[in-house]
Amino acid sequence: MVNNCRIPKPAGLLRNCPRVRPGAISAAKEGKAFQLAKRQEDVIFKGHKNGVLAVLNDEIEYPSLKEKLAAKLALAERFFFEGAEVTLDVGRRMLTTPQLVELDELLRGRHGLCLVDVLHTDPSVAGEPEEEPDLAAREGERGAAPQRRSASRETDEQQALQLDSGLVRRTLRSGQRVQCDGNVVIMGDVNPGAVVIATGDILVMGVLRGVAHAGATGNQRAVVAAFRLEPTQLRIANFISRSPDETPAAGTDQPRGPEVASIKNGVVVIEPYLPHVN
Amino acid sequence: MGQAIVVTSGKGGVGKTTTTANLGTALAMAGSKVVLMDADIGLRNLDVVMGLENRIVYDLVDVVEGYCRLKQALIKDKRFESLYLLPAAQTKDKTAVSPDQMKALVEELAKEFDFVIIDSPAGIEQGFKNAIAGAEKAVIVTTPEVSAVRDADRIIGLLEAAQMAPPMLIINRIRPKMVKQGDMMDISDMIDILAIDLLGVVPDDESIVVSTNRGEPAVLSPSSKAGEAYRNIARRLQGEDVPLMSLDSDDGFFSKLKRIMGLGAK
Repeated sequence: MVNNCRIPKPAGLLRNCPRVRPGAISAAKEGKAFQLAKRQEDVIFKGHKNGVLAVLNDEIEYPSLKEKLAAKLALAERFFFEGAEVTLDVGRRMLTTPQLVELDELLRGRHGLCLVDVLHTDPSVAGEPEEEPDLAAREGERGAAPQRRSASRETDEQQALQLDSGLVRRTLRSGQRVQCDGNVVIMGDVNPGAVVIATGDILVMGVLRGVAHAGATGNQRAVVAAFRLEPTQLRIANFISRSPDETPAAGTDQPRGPEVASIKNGVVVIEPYLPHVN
Repeated sequence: MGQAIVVTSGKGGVGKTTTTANLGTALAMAGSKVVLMDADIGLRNLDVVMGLENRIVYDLVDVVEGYCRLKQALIKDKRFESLYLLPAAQTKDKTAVSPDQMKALVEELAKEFDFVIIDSPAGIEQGFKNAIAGAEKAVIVTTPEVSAVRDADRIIGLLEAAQMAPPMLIINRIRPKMVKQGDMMDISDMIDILAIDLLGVVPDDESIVVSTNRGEPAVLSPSSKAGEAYRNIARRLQGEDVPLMSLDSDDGFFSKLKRIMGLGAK
């Protein structure tokens, strides 16, 4: 893919989270954004292996399509991550270069999204030679933008690592933050006040006590696994769950083994890690 | 327009965060609409003391940088409907915010809340400047130690230089027995040096340690002496005339306190 895009904070607030038994994790769902994606509309956003896939109806006129996309972006404001990579699926539509530039600007302007690819899912249309040079020409420009953004948000103390699927061989302490485009493995603990963010999965070979955000650009199939899962807060894609307020008394059914958190039926579920099942 | 009050001290570890949490909770208990603002960016604690750490999604820096709206970052307390927390960022440092931005933020909050209580970081650098930027009043917390009083004095000077109204003093962690034996600074000694109005005296209380670790401010516990002192201070902030509580059964000490309060109230 093009470059490491920054992953800022996720969307969603967690007021009114349902309270679940101690040891489990309650989940809050940012429901609206998802339901939008499911309805059959002219513009549909989907989770994609590399960020977001926007499927655009190829049967409506271009001006109307552009309007719908703009409206949809405005609606889904908190659903997106700045710097997320977007692939457009335009079906059988042939986009002219100016149109493509317009759509790119639309995506970039509102949320800082990066347009990385254009697909034509209808097999009767092969590649679109016209737009290739244009995309390539913009590559450099796009590469620079997210880096500028991240530079402004980072400080020396922040220790934000920007890496492709990475390994961190130390304990993350309060105030430390690891961001990763891909999966991340922490060999050490993640203490309260530390944050791990990855576009893919997160594995903590130690105790996870801080905040972990897997699938940060919208991948709902991402998981968070840890030798001991005691997070302050868990986030997967745009689902957020927090630890229960009452700390369970010692000796109650606090699991001690490795566990995996994933999204199942719209809630964050924590299960013991069973190697042959996962 | 609500009041914006900064809780500051210069010295660390004297009880700024505990004071902020307890005053805020006591004010909310008494029916005021209160927001607690953690200005200690990079070393936030107020969320932990309030027991709200696991609810943080957005923080003060996210608001200032426009990543979210102010309302999204405000965390409602689990006990009181009218109490909110604006948490600090932990993965940033003090330079992430400027005094002007803090001022704008406090002004915005003061429109909605009766009290905006700002928990200042220790020190006199940018974090302190940020914390006092939007405040109209200051509460100085000190303990009966020479070093804490010295730092409090320095802070009072800085607040004067920043053209703020004369601050009010909270003397924290006093031990009446030690004072009586002459082993601890006397309240009147501290007032003599600092020459500002006394807002309250909080006795040293072991229950504070427990309540801080549990994330439940001491004012929630009816039996806590320190909690009672904070409840009284909150009533004074709301304009009531509450006498200093008796820290000791000894009349001599109490009457001395009353004399000081009379001095402070003029």
